[in-house]
Amino acid sequence: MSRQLEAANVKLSSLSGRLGHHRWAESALVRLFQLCWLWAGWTAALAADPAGLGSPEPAILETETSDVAVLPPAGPHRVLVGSSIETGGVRVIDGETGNRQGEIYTAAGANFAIDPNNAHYYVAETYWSHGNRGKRDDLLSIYDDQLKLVAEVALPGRLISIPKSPTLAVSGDGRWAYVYNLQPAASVAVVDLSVRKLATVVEVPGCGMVYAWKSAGFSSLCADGTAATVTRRGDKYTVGHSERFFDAELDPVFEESLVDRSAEHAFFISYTGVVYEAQLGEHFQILKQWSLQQAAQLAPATTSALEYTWRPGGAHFAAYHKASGRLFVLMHVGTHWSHKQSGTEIWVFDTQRQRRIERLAIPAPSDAITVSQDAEPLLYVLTSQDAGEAANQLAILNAQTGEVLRTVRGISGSFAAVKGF
Amino acid sequence: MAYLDNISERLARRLARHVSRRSFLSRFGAALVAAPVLPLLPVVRGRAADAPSPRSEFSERAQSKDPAQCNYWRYCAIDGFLCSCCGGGVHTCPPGSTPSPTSWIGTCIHPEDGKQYLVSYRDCCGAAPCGQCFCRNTDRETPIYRPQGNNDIIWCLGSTSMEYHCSTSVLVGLAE
Repeated sequence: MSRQLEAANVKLSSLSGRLGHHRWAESALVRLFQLCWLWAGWTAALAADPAGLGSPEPAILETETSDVAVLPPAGPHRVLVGSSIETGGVRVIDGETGNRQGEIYTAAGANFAIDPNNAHYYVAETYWSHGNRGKRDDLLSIYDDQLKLVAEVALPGRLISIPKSPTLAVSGDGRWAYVYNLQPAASVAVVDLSVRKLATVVEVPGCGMVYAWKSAGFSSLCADGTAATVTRRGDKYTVGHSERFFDAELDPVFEESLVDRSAEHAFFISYTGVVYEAQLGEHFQILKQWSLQQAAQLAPATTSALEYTWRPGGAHFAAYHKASGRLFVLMHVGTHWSHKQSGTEIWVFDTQRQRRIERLAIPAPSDAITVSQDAEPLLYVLTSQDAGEAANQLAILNAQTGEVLRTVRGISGSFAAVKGF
Repeated sequence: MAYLDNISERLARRLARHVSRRSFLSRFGAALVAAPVLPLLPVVRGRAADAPSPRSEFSERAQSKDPAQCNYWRYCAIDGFLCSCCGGGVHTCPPGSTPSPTSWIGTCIHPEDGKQYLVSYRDCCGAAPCGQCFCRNTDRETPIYRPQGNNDIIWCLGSTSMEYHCSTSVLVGLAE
């Protein structure tokens, strides 16, 4: 400080010299400047030590190294959100807090699935060597429970579409992964996850999507209104068909229909709201057939294109809580062929009694929901991209009361997934 | 069945004008493989069923003046960005993209003459998503397991690039 003051005085002396021989002016100017310096120094000292008592030198902060957070074991309320045709990535979110816990890298348009044993996450995705052209690589990428890539299995191809969860399915026992392909013949690539290799490709002509069984095979839905039953016998698969049970042209069942893989129990839901409960497996069987509207004391919806009534709709439009047998469905008022219209309410059904037991309000229209499988379930609601300011949010509701517990902003994706379904 | 002959003739002539022989053979081979999946006569299938009224919520609001609007009559089952807003037109791909050889099929009602027309929704491929004039219409739209009526598939199958840019609506002919 004193050296700086001296240098400033020299400069001032030089300035006053140029002013002439007014010694009194020179002296006053130097004194004024010195006073300013003293005041500034005192102020700074007071700010650093306001009590004026003096204090020890602050400890020097420790040096740091970059590291990666450890992903805690998956609880029942972990939810994964992703699979957008526009952008890649799967977000891992703690439903208890709404906090982000990590991210899985994916290509745009990828699909993902959770290992039923919670040890891995699977991504079916496609890359080209030159972005929009060049060599094409279709992969099943396998990530461990810390979201580290541990293996890539080359696939013979996969369907690229607005992501739909039944284009990738994992068997209930976690041993087999199935990837649907339409290039343009319909087939399913079967990956043996125990050795992480492509096991075989099964042709499913006239059919599409994969609804996995517990272990011995899978079902697909077919354009003739049947279900294909694909059964593994040794290294081979045999393809059979159920009886025709729906009209694929006038009242198709949604692709995003639900399957409890461990029980091999499916809920195929049609555009008009007919629920076909089916036992999957080699001997496919329709167990029950009921109407969502009739379960709500309304007339069943028809295929009349100008009839406005409550109908199911959206994309990943339904969810099932296995322990309670409750079915959650996004509903809207619309005509036939409004099957992609966002839901404005969630209706909750008791599937044992085939009765609607709740109508839940949601914060904004939604195209995708899912529900955790524990005794205190959370209902995850992704708001529609058309929902204005409320777009791209994940609303987390108490699945029993419908209370909105928290909302996470900036979350987009075609669907959300939880362990166990 | 005369209208089917007309449609077939028009499709064949369109194909001959725009597709080289080598290219045709490769695509025809792919079509043969796809034949079990893609029934070639969706209109007949529709008529064979006990078809309900073709009118729909969309057709009640459709217009025939502005192809840059989602309610333009030919867009009754379109899903994606309108090429009309991206430098192309109703049946024209914007520069920098190319039409896919494969497509999905819709049947739309013209608001002026009240007739049903068969339209082929053809994606333009090879450029990044256009991002303009997003529409999501779903008249008679069916799930992926009935692909000829599905508009969620990236219909760039058979194109040199699977990158989706925008969608067009190509008039094929009367559907009745």
